[in-house]
Amino acid sequence: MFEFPLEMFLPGSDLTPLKENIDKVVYGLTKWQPKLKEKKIEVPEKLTVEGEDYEEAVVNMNNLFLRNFWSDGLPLLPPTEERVKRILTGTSLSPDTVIGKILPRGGISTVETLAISLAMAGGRPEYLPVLIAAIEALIDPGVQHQVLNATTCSIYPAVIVNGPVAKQIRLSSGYGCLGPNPEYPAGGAIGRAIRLILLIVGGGIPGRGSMAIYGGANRYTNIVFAEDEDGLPSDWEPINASYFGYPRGTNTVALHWVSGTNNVVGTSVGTAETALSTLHTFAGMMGVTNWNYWGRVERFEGSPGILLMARGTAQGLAKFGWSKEKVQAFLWENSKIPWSMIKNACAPDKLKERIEPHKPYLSMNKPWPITSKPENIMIAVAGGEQSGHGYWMQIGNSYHPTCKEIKLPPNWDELLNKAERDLGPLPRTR
Amino acid sequence: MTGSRVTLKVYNPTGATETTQLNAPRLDTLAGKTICELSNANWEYNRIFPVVRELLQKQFPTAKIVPYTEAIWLRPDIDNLEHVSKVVKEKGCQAVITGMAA
Repeated sequence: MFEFPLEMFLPGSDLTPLKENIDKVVYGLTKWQPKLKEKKIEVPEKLTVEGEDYEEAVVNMNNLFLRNFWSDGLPLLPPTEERVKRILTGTSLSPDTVIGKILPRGGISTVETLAISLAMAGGRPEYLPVLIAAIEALIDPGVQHQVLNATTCSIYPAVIVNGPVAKQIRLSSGYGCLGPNPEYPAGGAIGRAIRLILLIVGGGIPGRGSMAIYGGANRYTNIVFAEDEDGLPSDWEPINASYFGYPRGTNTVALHWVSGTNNVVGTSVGTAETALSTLHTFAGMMGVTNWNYWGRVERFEGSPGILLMARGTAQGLAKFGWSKEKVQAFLWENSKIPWSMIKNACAPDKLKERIEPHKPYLSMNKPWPITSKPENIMIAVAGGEQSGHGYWMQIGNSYHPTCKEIKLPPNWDELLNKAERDLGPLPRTR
Repeated sequence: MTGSRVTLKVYNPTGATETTQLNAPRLDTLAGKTICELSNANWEYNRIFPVVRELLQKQFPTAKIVPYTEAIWLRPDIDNLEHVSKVVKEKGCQAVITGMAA
């Protein structure tokens, strides 16, 4: 097939390549013959890589994977049979259990495929059940991952883990929970495995399968963390219960695609006044002209993003009478964008087009809410105990968030015992 | 002295692939055929489609080209495939040109 240059599809481009190659369009409709002549499933063979010694073999393997775009650009651990077999001890599912296709490429993710990515990412067997649940969530039809893995929006999955499993696998809910941490290594490995699956199995290679303009620094390991359930106010439910209806204590993975992350400073709550000022600060961060809020009906009626507050903030709010529902209602009302901002940031002929699908929530000359109802705002408690900062993760062209249960294997205790022998006792620092 | 080389046998990380649908058979010619444009309203569709239309019409004067503006203004997403299929058949299309990047 003939490939027209990407530049031809950019604003104001020179269409000469099209005019000079119109015969290629004719050829495509008449004489072209596809390589694939029958319906079938093709399973790729294992590969052999050599080197003068082990170090050189690993370098050669990484070079091969880079040339084939089977990489995120950083060094990978070799997915040998031994390494993958060790990861597969993290589940009782058979390796050929199909989880689903990862789009746009359509590679089939089996449990083994996921174990391969987790092995390359430097993961441990006890992370595999969480990764399986995360991929099940990612390919949920409501999430529309085929759009999000290919879109021009720089968007990536945020994954929140609830239930006892989070602490057991050393997934952070405290200081630096969204970033690198040798004491809590699970988040980075699981997040990196998710990215490798999206890139390699799903074909989301920048400029080829994915048109994300920036990609985003968070894409290397996405965002994977635990909710600080110990830090929840007594009358606040964890997010898997309040938003998704799971019984408290269920091991789950919640997933929503986000595009922006904002550190929100000034969220210490010690008085009724600072409770109010903190909420206004959050609302101010959320109420911006992010056109994705109103991009599609599913988006507007889904969730506009995930708000994180540390335990001190949440407990402070609760102490001054703010239930989670009251917080959501306040944020919804006070994050509405003034009409003057909307009008200034939108071409006049586009205004009606934007309003029409979201009537009666949106109208001319009135402030616009960022979502159809307050309960759509996802709130989770996580972060360093000092609690002076919160975090707002706004959506991109996301669709619906989803939540899946994590299924643990019968040998779970054995896996955790091995982890303790390898890594020492569970961390006490937060 | 002969050194021994190290061999690593590793998994291909790409996952299996499945061909579920084959490409439609090609036409013998575009002359006398009805060709439909399917637009997702992205990537300079409003400049590129008219050029393709004009050039094809010039080369095949007896072809009927149904422009994307004529009730086939669709996003050919997965959730619209049934509707796209219905409209394409109603218009009597024997070939479709889909753009852009869809």
